[in-house]
Amino acid sequence: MPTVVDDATLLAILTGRATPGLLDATAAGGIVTTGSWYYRLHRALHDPESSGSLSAVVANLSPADRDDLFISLDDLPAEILVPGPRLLVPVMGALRLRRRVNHLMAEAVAAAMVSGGTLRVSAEAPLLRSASDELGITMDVRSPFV
Amino acid sequence: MAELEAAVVRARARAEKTGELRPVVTGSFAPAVSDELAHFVERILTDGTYARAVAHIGEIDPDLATG
Repeated sequence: MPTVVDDATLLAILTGRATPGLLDATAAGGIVTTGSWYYRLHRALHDPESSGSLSAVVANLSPADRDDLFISLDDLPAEILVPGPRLLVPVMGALRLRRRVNHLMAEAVAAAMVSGGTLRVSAEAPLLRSASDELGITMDVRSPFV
Repeated sequence: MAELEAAVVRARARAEKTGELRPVVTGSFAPAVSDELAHFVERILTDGTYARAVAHIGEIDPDLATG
């Protein structure tokens, strides 16, 4: 069963620091993320206006490490699936949830529904939890390192 | 809910047809990054640095917030 991962989990996978289970799942083609989580990760590491002190921390990496980080961001491994809007928007548009969700959360639950997968996020998110429960999607909150 | 279920069925059929969700299986996945970069990533993901950046992005752009 595919696992739809958030941006923090994606970053841990991209640098090989995630759990062996997540890395094995990646090798098996079982990891999915969303455009919104991918975009947020990119923005957090790249955009000083968005990320505040994080971009300064990234700037302190060695040039080689910074290049490796940005290359891994710009060229996602083929094993990681990112379903596009042609697939997900019709599902997002058909969501009628008790509590309104934003674009990022609508895309996450749509990706889980279409892929038949579960959600795995690194921090509790009450609205996403509520949407997942309502739609019968399993949502795990776990560090990508444990 | 029927509208949603129908949308999911159509999306899955489309994915099957286009291969958009067809997994790429390589058998092994081992990114070649330095220990320093790997430690850096582990640190920003565990000490709150990344979470603060994400919270800030969510304030600027609510559609990217995790509620």
